[in-house]
Amino acid sequence: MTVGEQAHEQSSESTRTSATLPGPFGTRQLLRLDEALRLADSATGLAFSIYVGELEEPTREYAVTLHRQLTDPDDAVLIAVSPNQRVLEVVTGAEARKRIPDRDAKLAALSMVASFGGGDLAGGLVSGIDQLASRAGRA
Amino acid sequence: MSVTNTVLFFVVIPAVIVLVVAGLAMIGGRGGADRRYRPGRQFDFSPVWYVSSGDRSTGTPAAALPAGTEPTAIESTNLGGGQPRPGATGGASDRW
Repeated sequence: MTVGEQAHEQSSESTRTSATLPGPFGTRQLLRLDEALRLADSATGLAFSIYVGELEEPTREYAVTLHRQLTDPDDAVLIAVSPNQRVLEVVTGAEARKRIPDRDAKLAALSMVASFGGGDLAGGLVSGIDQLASRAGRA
Repeated sequence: MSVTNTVLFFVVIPAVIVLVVAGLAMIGGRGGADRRYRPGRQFDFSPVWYVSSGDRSTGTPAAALPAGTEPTAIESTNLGGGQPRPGATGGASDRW
């Protein structure tokens, strides 16, 4: 079971039981995110992950330390979003960077930020993953 | 048209319509907890971290990171071996 599915299960349980939710996404949004992550990973061979929560200052360095905690950071792409700080950080590992140049990461970031500014976190993330995965190409 | 009729048509009836519409709007706004993020509104969910396969993350996957926890990999002594060289990561930053 993927983390997305686990989170999804927790989410749907807590929707029934209490108002405190582990995440900001609804069931349908979680399913879409999970599928986007799965497709992106299987297509590119990279490991995409999404972090939504507070980022400590300086946000860039904190996002890089988060990225480093993944098992294979070189091939990992972390999309870290902090809605309170209105900050988006895209971190690509050493190998992933060769396939997703910083310029393309910036383009995907611009697209995501446009959605976030309109209040659409899940939609922005899905389109951002799509752009990054398309740029990375097939494994 | 008498004064009473004039008042009825041009004051009372529009006022009733306005009140009904306003009441419906307030009832609709209160229904259910709105989980959707809106820019400017406080976002007080616990941090979540999604990866597509569970064994990619070194920690417990669903837990993500508790807010305010110091990441263990930050120390410079840990940078050797399998850790990427500092500055080897790329990406982009943006704000909205």
